[in-house]
Amino acid sequence: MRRFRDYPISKKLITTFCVIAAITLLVSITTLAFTSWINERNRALTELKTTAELIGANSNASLIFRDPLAARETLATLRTLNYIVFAALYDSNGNEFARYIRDKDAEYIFGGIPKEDRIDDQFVTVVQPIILDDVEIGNVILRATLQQRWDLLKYNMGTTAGLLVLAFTIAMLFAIALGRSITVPLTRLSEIMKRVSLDHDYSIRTNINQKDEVGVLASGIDEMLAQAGERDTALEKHRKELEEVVTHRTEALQAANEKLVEELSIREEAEKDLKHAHSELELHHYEFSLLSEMNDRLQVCHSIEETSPVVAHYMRKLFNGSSGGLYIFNSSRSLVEPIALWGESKPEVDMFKQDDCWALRQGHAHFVNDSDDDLICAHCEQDITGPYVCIPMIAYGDVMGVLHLRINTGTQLSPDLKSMEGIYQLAITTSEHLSLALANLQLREVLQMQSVRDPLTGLYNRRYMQESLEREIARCLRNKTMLGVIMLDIDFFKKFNDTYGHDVGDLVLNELGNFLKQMIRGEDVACRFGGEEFILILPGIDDANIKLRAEEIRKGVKDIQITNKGQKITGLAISLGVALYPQHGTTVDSLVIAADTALYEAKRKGRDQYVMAVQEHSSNEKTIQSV
Amino acid sequence: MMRSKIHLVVIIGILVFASVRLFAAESSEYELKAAFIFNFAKFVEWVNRSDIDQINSLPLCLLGEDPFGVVIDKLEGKKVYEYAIHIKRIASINDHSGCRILFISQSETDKLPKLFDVLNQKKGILTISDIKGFANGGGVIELVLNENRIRFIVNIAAAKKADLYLSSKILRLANVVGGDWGEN
Repeated sequence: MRRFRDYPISKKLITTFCVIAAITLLVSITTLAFTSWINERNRALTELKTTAELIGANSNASLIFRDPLAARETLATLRTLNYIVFAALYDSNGNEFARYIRDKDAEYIFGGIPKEDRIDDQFVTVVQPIILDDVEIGNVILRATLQQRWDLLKYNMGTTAGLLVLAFTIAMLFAIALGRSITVPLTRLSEIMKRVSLDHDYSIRTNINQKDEVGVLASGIDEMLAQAGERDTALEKHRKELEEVVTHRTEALQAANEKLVEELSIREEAEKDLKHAHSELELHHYEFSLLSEMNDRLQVCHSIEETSPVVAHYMRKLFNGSSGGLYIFNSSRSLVEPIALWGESKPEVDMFKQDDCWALRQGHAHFVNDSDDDLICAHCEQDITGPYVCIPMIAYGDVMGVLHLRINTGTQLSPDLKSMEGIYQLAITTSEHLSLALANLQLREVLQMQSVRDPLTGLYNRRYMQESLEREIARCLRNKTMLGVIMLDIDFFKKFNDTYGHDVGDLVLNELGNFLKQMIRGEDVACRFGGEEFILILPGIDDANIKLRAEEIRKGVKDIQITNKGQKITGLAISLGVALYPQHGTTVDSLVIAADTALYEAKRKGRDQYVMAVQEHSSNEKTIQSV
Repeated sequence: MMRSKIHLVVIIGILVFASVRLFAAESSEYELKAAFIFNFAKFVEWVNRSDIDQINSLPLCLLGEDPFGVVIDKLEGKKVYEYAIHIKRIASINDHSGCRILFISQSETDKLPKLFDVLNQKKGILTISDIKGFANGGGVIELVLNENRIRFIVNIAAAKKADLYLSSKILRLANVVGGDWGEN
């Protein structure tokens, strides 16, 4: 169907004609043949029936009067009807009376009287009863061939078909002519259209002078072409004008575009800068957050020692890949000592003098960009390989130490992102933060010290003693251990003050303090109780050992050498009162009282000796307590 | 040709055989003759038939010795068209009144001229006899036995004279004497 639609019109017309005509032809011929044949058969039957009737009427007498010869003569009259091939007469008893066979050569076996008329494609057989005076006196049987009728039919059909084919051919010729009358002008029209669309020549005309639809179409096209021609001219003019405008505009646009490109590149540059700034800002933010984090961590450190891992950690993070050390002055300010060292190439020199560092000498940061072409600090002369910076750690106007930072250029974040200057700036900022934090920590340590220590002797003060004793008693109670308390007092201290002055008195106290510090074990606590009175708390000691210790201390004190302005000071001795937990007291007060009582006893006995506290006193108390 | 000849021989043979069988007995000859008489009635038209229309019957008279016996009595009451046959045996020609078909027995051979004298005066009577020369003598139908088959001779002039109309079908089967039907 799709293909048929694509056919040219003439082909379509002819095909349609052909199909319709062929169908009509076929149907009409078939119908005609069929009806003709039926008619012929019926006619043959009717005719034969009439003939049989006639024969019957003509032969009734011969049948009645039994004259077969006459009957045969009657039958013989059938010879004129050449299609009758057989005839027979039967009497009322069913016996054959006379017969007629057309072609003696044709063998025809006839089996008695047929019951009824028969018709097939070749023969018609009729049975006609012979009636005379209402009595059936016999039957006549006729059989006729249909061959002639067939032949006639065929001939007629052939003629009809021939005529139909002729009509079909004529119709076809008309169809072709009609198709041509449509398609030829159409083809011409389409050719003209093609030419027009190719050459844009609107002066072409169709020249078709028909009055039908094709003619109307052609004149329409002519008119259209004329209008199109006019429009084309106008359009051409328009186009030229437009072209000029376009040229102008294009130039303007070109200029604008160039300008835009320029602006764009400027903007790109600006954007790049902005991006750079942004990333720097981000980095700054990151560094700042790291710094503040470090500050927070340092805030919660209790001592300078504790800061070491914090400093190392954050320095590694802040200065990615760099090594270094943080040094602070020792107590005597003679040397700087490291509190933190970090990185793969951390400094080998452990501690150094102030003069070994240019930063400490100058009091400001010392940058070295090129280790081969700059002043190198003595403390890192032997192992420095790249750029480094030493920044003095200054807080509250004091130089606390130095931050030594070795910059690893190889694994630095990004050279252009983080310039050396930036690193130095960060290092300075960091050092400021560190200085402040460390100074605060130092300050805190000093304050702590001042709150628990006696400034003259460096021993713990009475408040601390109270706390320590309480803590130790609690531990003894828990662990079922013993605790010793020795209270001692300088003999005739007033005499020293009076003899050598208060400075010497202080000196003596100071020296005794130092001596006591040396005499005690790690867990022991030495305190200045007040004036020239001291208390030693000795956890886990027993009766025998505390006596030995008391004696040892008493003897030791006598050997203390004190020199003041070249003058040897002699005659230093102490008295000691010894008390034990839980024998002599189970509370701070009772123990102290027990020791104090014993000390009083020693003084009374003549000084320069120790006295153990009285047993009964404490046992009484213990009894009371246990009750 | 051979075959057709054989056919012909066979057919003739059958016919001869049938005829021999048919006339094997004497009685069946009159039986057939009775049938012939009855059938003649069907092919004869009485020109003046007012009387038979009146009585609505066809009287069949037998003159002389009856050669049929009961055979003819079988025809009693049988209808020819609308008319019923009525058998009537008469001894003398004088008793002929009302007869429409008259069979004259061979016993009357000698009286035949006398009979014709009477009958010539009469119209509307179909005369039938198997007396030789009956038709030539003036009878209408003469039955003859020819080669064991019953044939008949028709005297057309006598029929005309008796105001009878005979069907051409009968004439075709019969030997005709007394001129053509078309004459006069």
